[in-house]
Amino acid sequence: MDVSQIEDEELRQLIGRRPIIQLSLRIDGEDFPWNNPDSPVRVAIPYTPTEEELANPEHITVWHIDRDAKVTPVPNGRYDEETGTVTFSITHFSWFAVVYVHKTFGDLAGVGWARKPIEVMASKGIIQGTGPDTFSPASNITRADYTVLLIRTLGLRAEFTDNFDDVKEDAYYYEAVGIAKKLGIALGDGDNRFNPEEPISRQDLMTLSARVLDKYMGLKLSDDIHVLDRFIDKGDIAEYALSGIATLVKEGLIVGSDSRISPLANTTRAEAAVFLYRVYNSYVK
Amino acid sequence: MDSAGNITAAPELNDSGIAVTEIDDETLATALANAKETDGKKTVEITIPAIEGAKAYEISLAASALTSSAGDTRFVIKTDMAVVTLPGNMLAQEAAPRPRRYPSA
Repeated sequence: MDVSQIEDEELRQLIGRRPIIQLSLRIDGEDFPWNNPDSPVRVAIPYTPTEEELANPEHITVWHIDRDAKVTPVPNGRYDEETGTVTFSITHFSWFAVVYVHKTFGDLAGVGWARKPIEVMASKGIIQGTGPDTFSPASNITRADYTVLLIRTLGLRAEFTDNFDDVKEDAYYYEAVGIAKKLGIALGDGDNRFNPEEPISRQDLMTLSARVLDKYMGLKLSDDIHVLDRFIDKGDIAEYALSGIATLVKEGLIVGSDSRISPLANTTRAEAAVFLYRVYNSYVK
Repeated sequence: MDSAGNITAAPELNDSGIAVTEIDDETLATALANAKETDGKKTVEITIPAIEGAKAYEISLAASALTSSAGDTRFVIKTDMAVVTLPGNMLAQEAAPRPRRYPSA
């Protein structure tokens, strides 16, 4: 594949000298539009990063480019230093380009601890800002937004026919929440309501996440809640959230701060980004 | 082919600059019979040595290799441009009732 075949000049320059490949399948001589979410194909492209790229290898990622030169990030694309390849998984064939993306936002100064996770997750196309140059790291994240991010981070999909009563069909989170419901991750409030626009508490975020990691990503839920002893506010944790939170703490996916786990506090966008970054690195291959 | 069923198949460059390789059914069957299991899947590696001037590689094999419903085989196609791992059930029609991963959006 040759980058000169891409007509969009801006895109051509972004790809630059990096590899771009086209994968296609023909059956009996006819092009076959393969698309099978159940059987991902794994690709590894040999790649030697530049010095700048090697300093920030997590920003090396992969874009899917369709016939109209429309770009869609492939969130699982990453550089594997050990094998010197860029690896990714796909469920359809097309053009795929290795790219180096360093997205940042102008409002990350107060959240140094979250800067890298936010930048990496944004560069991979998983997380978006609240504006072209703003991430609003201290804002609360809603239940809907978190569900969208969680489903996108893990690349989960499911066919679903029904959704929560308070999730409208034209909402941008309709699909993600529908998937989460179908997969038994989002349970709602028993009245078939999800309260999508409400902020998500830290304990609900952890419960939802532990459930999905346990069900689909190979995390084993633990009943050993002694790991929570070091948090002075562990008494605030609801019964239903204990095992999930304990498991995430045990796995190092949640660390808390100042001896607190703050289960009842709302989750900020920065906290959600940091957590999903850890999940991405541990569970997304 | 080596004893573990791994195939090395030299390609031929056609007029369009495509390096073409065909793996015949017998070779494929023997390879699968000898293939070692990794992670519960029989893995056949097909190495296509680089050929100068190749703009693309085209590997032909029987579609039946990729329509197994058991999902216990995989083929690793190695070229100098990329290593592509094809699950043996990538063309299976049955959609299993489980969550689907879609790595690309």
